[in-house]
Amino acid sequence: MKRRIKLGNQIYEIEILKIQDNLLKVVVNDKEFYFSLKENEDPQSLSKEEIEKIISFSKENILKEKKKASDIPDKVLKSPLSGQVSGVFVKEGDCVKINQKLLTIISMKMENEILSEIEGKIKEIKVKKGQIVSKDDILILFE
Amino acid sequence: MSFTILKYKEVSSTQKKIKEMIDKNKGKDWLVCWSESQKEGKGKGKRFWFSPKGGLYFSVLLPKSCLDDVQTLTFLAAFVIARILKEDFSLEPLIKLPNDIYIGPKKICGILTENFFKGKELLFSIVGIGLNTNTKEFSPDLKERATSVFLETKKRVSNKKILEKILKGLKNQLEIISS
Repeated sequence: MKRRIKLGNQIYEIEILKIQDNLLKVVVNDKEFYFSLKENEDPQSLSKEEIEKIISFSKENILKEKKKASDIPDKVLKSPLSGQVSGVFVKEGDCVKINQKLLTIISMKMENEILSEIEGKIKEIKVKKGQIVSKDDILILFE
Repeated sequence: MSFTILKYKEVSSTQKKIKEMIDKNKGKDWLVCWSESQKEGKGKGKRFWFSPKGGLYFSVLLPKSCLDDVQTLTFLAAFVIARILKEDFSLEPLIKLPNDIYIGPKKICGILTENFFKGKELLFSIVGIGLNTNTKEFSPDLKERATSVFLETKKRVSNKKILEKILKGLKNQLEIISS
């Protein structure tokens, strides 16, 4: 958000942006200034080199984080067959045990009970009772 | 492999009984729970199977199927039972796919398959069968829609023999189709 302040006869348009946890960007009349932002310390003006160092380090971290996330995909429960969800026996946030009944799916008049193959916390339930699902559709996401 | 047949006078449902056995780690391939009558014989969904004394009611725990499509289990059971009705009792059964057998417009047998998956892996299947063998009469609401071997042939039949024949037939067919 831009603010206008008046010092003497001069009006300055100022915008302060926290672009990273440890980096503050201050724009004064379209001119950019960067400051380090550390706990219990006053903001300090940074040289161009220091700014680049902080930004590139952060980018590296972001890339690393992204890589980490793609390396460990969400634990998912996929439907073993096509059918209609006839019961959901857990809710989001529940911690489930191995072999705990999660869902039932009716398929061609067969009843299919889907038990948990992992122990963990349910992040998201992708289906509702009555919903038609295809084989391999994602039913539940685990944390 | 031989069958392990547990016989009961009356249970709430044989399907429930066999699941209790599995929960107690007493489940094994070809375990059969057979009852002379059921208080709450399980039909599809929340429906009941009329199960007075005289009929044949049992559930069988099948070995982990190597079939790609578990639906085949229901078809196999229907085929085996229809063949027995035709060959042994000279009836003209009609399989109403996927899980009912009719004599004319009246239902004589219902099959309920329940599969248990751990994630995507099939753990086991239970096939529950209700066959109206020596049932002499049905409740008024079922009279027009249900029949029995006795009502069709006027002869009493041996439930034990039919049970054994169905189990052997199922085992043979599973072996043939799985090989």
